[in-house]
Amino acid sequence: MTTLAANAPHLSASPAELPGDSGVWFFIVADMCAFAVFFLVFMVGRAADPALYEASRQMLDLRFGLANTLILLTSGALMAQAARDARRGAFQRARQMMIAALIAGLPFGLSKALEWQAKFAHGLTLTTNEFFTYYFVFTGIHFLHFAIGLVVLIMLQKVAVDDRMPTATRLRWIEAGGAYWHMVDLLWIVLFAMLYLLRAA
Amino acid sequence: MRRAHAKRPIPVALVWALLVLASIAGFALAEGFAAPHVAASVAIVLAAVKIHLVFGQYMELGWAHQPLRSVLAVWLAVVTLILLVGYWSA
Repeated sequence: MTTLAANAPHLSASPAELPGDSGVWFFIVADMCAFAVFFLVFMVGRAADPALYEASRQMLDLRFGLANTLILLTSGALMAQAARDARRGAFQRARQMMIAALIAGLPFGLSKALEWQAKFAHGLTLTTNEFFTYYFVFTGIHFLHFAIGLVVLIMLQKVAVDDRMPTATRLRWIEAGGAYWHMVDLLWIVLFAMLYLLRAA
Repeated sequence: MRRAHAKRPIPVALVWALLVLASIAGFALAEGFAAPHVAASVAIVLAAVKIHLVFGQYMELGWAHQPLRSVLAVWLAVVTLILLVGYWSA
């Protein structure tokens, strides 16, 4: 699944053109800026009380964080391949890749549910302390983005093979949906580092 | 043709492998490396590298649309600074 796009004819016209749709990119950038503010708020809180944040961090299971990261990266890779396939006109294969991305991404939801359940079982909730307030709010908002992404993928795999739509339109939808799905990846990359990996001395 | 004069995209499987390796490296550092400050700083830098790869290869901005690429580069720089400065100021 590696080099399909390398020599492929591209359907779009200009090197300056956005992959996907400018409206979707506006939403993505705005959403990422909102998350940047979340990251700032968390790090300011951490700087004010590093002992509390470190003690709370140690209550997280890093294996869940890593598993979630690998799940999203794998699903993202399949979606990236779908977009490359679509760009060379192989919409049926793009659809297969999107279905694979959907299936590969589903375990993230299960993993998150198991992780939250384990936290609740240990009495750790939104009100336990500041760290866990941020933990549940940020991962909850991210989970909402993930769930929306799953719906987008379900819709896109239908769009990919809808011959009633112009090819360029289908490609634009796939690129836009892919960009959204990759935003879910990259926000998790930051959350994983910030919540799980910043070990205090 | 779009991107005709641009860099060739890296194969998706190779990008995925790099992202997975970086993720496992960050995890291993956080779990076991003796110097926490070094481990945390490297984990932040690895996260930034991963995001750069996602922007450039998965989102396909590495060879298209300079204005958006610049906006996302600034976002990545700001977020990386927030994490590094926030961590070291604790």
